[in-house]
Amino acid sequence: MASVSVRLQGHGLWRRWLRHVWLLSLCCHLLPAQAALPTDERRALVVALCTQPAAYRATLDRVVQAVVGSSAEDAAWGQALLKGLADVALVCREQGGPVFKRADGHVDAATLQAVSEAVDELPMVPSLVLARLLKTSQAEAELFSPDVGTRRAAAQRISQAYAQINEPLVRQALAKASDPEVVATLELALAKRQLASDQAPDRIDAIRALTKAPSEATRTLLSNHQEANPAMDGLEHEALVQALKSIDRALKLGQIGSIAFSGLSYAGVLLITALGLSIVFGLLGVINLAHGEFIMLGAYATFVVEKWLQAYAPGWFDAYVFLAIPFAFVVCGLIGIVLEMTVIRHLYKRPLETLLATWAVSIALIKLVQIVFGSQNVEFITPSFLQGGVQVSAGFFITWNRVFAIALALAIFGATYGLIRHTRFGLLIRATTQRRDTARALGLPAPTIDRLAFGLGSGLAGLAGVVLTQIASVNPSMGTSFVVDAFMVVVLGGAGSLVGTAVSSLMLGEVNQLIEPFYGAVAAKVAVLLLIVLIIQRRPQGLFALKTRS
Amino acid sequence: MKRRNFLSAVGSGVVAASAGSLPQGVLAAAPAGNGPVKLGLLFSQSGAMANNESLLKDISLMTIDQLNAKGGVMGRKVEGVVVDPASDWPMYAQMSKQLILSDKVSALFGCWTSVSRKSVLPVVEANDSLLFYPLHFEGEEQSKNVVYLNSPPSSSVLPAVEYLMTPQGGEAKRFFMLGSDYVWPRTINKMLKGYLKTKGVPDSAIREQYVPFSHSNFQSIVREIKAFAAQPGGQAIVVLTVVGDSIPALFKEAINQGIRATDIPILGLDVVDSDLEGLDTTPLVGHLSCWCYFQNIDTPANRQLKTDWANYVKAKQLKHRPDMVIDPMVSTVMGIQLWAQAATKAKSFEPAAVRKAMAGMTVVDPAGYTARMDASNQYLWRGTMIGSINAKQGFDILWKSKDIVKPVPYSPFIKG
Repeated sequence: MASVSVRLQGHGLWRRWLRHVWLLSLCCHLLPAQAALPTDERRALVVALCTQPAAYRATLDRVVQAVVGSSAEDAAWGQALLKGLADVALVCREQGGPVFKRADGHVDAATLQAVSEAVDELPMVPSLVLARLLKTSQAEAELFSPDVGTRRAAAQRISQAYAQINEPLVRQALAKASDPEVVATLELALAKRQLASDQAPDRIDAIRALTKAPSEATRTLLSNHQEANPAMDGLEHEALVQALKSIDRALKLGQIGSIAFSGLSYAGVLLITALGLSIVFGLLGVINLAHGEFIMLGAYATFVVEKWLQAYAPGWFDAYVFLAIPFAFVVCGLIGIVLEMTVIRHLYKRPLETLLATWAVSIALIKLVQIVFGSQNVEFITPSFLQGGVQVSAGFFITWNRVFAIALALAIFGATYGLIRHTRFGLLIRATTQRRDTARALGLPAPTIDRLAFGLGSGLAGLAGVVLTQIASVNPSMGTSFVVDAFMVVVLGGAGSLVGTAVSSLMLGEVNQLIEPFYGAVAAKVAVLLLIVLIIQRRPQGLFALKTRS
Repeated sequence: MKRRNFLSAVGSGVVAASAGSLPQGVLAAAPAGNGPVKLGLLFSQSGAMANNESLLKDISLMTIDQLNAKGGVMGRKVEGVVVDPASDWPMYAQMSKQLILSDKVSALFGCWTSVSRKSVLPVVEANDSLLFYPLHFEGEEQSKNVVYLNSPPSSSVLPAVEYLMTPQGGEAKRFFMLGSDYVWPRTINKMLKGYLKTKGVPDSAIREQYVPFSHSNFQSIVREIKAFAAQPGGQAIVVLTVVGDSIPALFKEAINQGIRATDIPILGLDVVDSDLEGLDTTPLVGHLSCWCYFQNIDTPANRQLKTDWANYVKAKQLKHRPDMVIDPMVSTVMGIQLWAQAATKAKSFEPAAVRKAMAGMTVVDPAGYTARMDASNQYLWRGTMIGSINAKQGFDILWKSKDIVKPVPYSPFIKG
């Protein structure tokens, strides 16, 4: 360690001399002009990252200086170093200088020239501390990126890791920043640091600035500040109390929002998984235990579409979710029709046998998919527009995949409701299921309608599979966990009533998510089941009863 | 009818004679020529655990093939008898009974979750058979009928948590423990709480949450983790003991809600490479796991094992990833090798003789250690390491122990 610092000092002199030369040649440069770092100094910086955890901050600061400095060569080297560290490509060697591991061999970490000798050591895995500092350093460098999106993300990181930042550099970036979002975020970061100022007016300014950006983190910052300074003056104290009050209010609202949202999104999943069953069980009266497997088949149909697009139309890859919607519906619908023709139609009005037969079908389908696709989870690359989410307000974060699930659930529910209530086909289904004999006497082809209705239910289950690829993990046995939920929803809602299904999934979703944050997921599940038992005791026919042929 | 009864009576008489009255000495004296010796493979190929357990089944079959290619054990071919307990815990007991009593297996290899092991335990004890158990687990158990091939938590989890509390490890001060609701997570967390108490961590800095099996809706829990981490008191980490399908579900939600390892590291105690399949791991880089083996270890034995596995997967056209080997797979391989060595040394396939021969025996660990069976209990001494998730759906090794660590079956941090 000692030797490294001696070397650093030695090269400091060398660098100063070089800087003079540089200044002479570029006398009107705005940034503090920097000479290209000599190889030895670069190497010393890399060695320091390998061996001196205590000097991480200082070393990385100099690397960032190199990246944002005026020498293009240094910038390229600094970027290579930051990237090499983050990608776990830096090999620190006992003998010889550090090198980067590249796909086609090794390059020297200081000169970026290929090294000829064989390197058999493994790259250094950054410790958590180094990883944190590294991320902040990368953000500092990215504040100067030409891309505004990158700058915004970098500013977010700076604000989050405000304690670690190189303040002069951030101020420099702020002076140059034009994007209002970047400016606001960086000002917030500086305000967080200003809270530690020894000037009371500065601190009060900082408190006011933080009040405008309520979050759990700022609340913690302010309450820590309150605890650390019990004897602050009246003005500051007042500002602080005001700030905490306003942040608490915002967080409370955020919590209500997020509970409602997660209830809604859970309800969306329940609704979409139960919708197909609501037709098959509710209208046709078939206890279809293979319902979960149709969901699973829908998910695998999505998988097939995904793989197909990946292979043949990578440009359209992100659209696979939408392409999978008709595909999964048709595939599952057809399989449903085949199942109806071969098994179900022989078992109408024999619920016990139907139950056993569909259970057998469910096991057979699981095994079949296992043989074809294997039992491991299958890979879904989330389309870029469904990744991540957005902070709606303090403490209220929504994720795009849930929004997608809710939207799709509503759309599919709307379409199904329209189909059943407002089309001729829906009319025929309702007629056949409610007054079968009358319908037949009027000349309706009841068996065909049964078959189509069963296919519709199966197709809807397939659509649930499409949505679940973005939320749950997909494997051959995924269906079993959804079939129970689906039956709960349909039974509670009242067999045969689509509106009942929607209301009961909304109810179960919200109740579950209301309880979960306070008493845990297990308690939430118990509470929901008890609630269903109680309601079914009072109303055995479900919330929205409908007369059917049974 | 009569005829059939007669035949079956004769048949069962013969079976009874060969199983019961043939003295062990006969088998030992003439090991060759008695047909194959059977090993029971008790791994689920359906249900929630299928993803992981089917890997163990296939690598067992591969190791058995390798033994046979070298002429079997004591001149006898080895045969793996595969059953599927379908991730249904009582089924493990039923199927282990079937393997021992009707298939007459010499030893059992199986189970992933502790609850399945607990379900098999009375069966192997009643029949004095041997279960080789390849997973790391909560400890607090010691049976002469189980061979524990992986580390108990005191020699794996506690060193990992201790590292995370050091300045290098990020100075964790607050702990969000999230687990599936069964014995392994609950015992680990109980032990961890006892341990943290001795380290001066206050109760207020610990949060404990459990979810049902196959729980996949982690929205509110991830939100709670974020809120917990933002509260005062220092750096928070998540100690994750959810299993099976819940792992990718939790990771997906964590990614979407923006949790990164640099903010809130997740130490996933049951997270293996196969759980990362199907996930884009770029946003997960830096989250942690601790096991006795990670496949990035560069040793000749490990290179050989990885090549063998890749070839086997291709040759048998299995659905597994050919480039993925995980700790329980390695433990299973080591277990079968240990069994073969011990049987050869004992010149017998009888569980009691194998058990006796195994004490103090060493076996090559592809992780770069020489693992050793404890002389007094049936825990294997293994090395321990912390892996950090990389962008290639695998783990880089962040930290590893210098040598194999003494296993402590009963943790001093659990009272009562």
